[in-house]
Amino acid sequence: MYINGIGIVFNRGRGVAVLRQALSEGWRPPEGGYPRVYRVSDEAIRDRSISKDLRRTDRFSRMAAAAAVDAAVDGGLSRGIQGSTGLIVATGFGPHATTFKFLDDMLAYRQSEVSPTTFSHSVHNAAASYISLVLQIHGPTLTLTRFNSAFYEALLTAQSWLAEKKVSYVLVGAVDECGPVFEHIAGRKLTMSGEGRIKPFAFSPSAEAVPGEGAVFFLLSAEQAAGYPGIADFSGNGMETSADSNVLAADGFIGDETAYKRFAAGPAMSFAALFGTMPGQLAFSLAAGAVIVKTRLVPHPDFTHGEYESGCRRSVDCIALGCRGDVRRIRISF
Amino acid sequence: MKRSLSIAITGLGAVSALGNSVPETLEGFRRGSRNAGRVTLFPTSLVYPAFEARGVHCPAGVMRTFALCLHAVEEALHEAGLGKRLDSCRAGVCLGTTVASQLNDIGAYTLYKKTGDMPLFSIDRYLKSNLAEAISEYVRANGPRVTVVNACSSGTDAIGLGCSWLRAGYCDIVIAGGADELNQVPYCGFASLGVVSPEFCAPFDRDRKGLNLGEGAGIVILEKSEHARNRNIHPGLFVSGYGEAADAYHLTAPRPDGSGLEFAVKQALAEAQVDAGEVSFVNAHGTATRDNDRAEGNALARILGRSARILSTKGYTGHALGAAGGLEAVFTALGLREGWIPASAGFRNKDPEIPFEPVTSVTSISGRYAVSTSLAFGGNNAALVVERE
Repeated sequence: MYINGIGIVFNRGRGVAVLRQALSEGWRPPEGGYPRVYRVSDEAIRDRSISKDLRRTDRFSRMAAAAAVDAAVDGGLSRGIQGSTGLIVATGFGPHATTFKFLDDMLAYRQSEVSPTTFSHSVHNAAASYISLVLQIHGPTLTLTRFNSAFYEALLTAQSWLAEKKVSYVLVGAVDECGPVFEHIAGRKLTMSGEGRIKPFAFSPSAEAVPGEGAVFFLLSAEQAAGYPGIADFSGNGMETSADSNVLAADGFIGDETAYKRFAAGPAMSFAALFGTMPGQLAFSLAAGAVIVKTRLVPHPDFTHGEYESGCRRSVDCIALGCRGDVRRIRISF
Repeated sequence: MKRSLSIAITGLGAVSALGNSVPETLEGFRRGSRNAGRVTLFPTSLVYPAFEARGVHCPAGVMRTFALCLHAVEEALHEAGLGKRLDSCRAGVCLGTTVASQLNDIGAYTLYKKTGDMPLFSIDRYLKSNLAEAISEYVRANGPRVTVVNACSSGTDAIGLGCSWLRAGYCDIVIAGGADELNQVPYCGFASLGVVSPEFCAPFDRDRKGLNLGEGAGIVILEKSEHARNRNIHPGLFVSGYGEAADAYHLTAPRPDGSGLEFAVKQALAEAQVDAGEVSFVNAHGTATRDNDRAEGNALARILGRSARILSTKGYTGHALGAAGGLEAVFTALGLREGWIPASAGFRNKDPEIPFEPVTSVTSISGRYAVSTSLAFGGNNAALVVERE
């Protein structure tokens, strides 16, 4: 299975070029005051080419659609093959800001007077619906959720669809937003970083968190294209890695990240300080890893750990720990 | 072995307004029980009847959806002869829901609005109730686990996804299906869309006025046939085909011509290597909304002809949202296994816009294949082909 295209929306902007620049530039504090949150700007998801189809949508669906469309364009997904394209959206908490907006309606009005539009946008698969509408994808469409790493199961599923020849392409991605209520919940449940900077290699027992949001999508197929690497191997509980370096999804999201330590014995990277703490960290790690392998880019030292040399990276293991200590590993390589 | 017999169903579990087990469900179908009434689970000023599941204990600290799901999972595992723990085999968990994915605890949110603080109890209850994660933890499954949130087709898609995982070799057993509780938020939300009936629902009927909401859980234990035989289980039921297609049309309305569903059903039949004429019956999505039943009815008639035996079981369970696909897959399997299907409750008069009449009495079944369909918010269409050996 190969990556054919990538689309990304995150705190620093939108697109692979912005990601590449951010990987080179290093850490910058997120915009705005305290508490720090790595938010996506409205400007990054304002897109006139798709705004007609998205005019009634919320931020969650806009972020997802922007990244998905960019991945399709980056991968050269052309009109006419959408019937053989599948779509999988992974999310931790879904469009929760819209859910709370609907609860606001229920509290403010009589139960018979709440907004049907808000309700229909509060369902988790609203974003997938808009993506399929914008790209006219008629193949299988799934929205998957876990509070940690639904993206891993999304990739597994994409691989099985391609192997079964159910579809020729799969657009698979992760999206999460950080609305005010979840910012509050993050403050209650996570150890927050006062300075707004995640130090992912702290491991004692976990990094301090800074909530983030964004969307990242990959166009996948069985054929190599656009110079991106392939996704060579999965492991749902594998502890062994032998890639040139590891990308760790350590971002303070789970209570104990000590087990990441063993994957940082060799050259390691983490980009949590770029994206913020969120359920889809593994997907963002994969995007960063793919760009590094494709372009031979040497990431800024802010993102590296140990004896990270500037040599060519032909393979990278993206690693995420689950809440039960299980290890999810995705290997990308040429 | 024929490819379609490779994924066995070795256990079934069901909880709904019909009853708290498969035997109670069958008894409810025989009697034609329609256990709907005013909502008792939460306060509401709305008077639409709903189908509540009675008698399932919900412990403090977990969502009702989890409790309903666990009840059905335990029944299904028992039938499969697997016990309550799966740590000795490669087991995946793939479950559909809608309510359990959302933090729509209006009491906790009201407190948050007043005080700026949400009770930790509510947060933890939500975080502990991601359905697949929680069930996986409970049964100590060590394979892939994910919750499918494809709105009303979630349960069907979870079963289809579980089949893909088994064929790909990611695991040997999958707990699949769906669960959902009756909740104030979708109750008000569906009412706001104008698709809820003030009377008992009447799928495919000319005078249908909309859906009734319901709740429950429908679970199947999917297993590689070879794996089951190695455990000395000789399965008689199989999932032999799954199809899924997106309308790419509208967030809430189905494509009027039903072409997305037609594609999904044809895909499922092709995967099962089954001709349309071999389908014994269809357990249709049949929500009793004007749009759904018209689009679905026409799509099914195009594929299967006007004389096909079609029913909707939502007249017995209400629309259980994320549980619907799981429940209806169980009901479809039961129809094949037991050799009969219930009447399509609520139907009285043929709709001139729908080319067939659903079955109106308990009907004997002798065929090998049956289809279960689901349509959903977001334009999802899904179909399963269930096979009896």
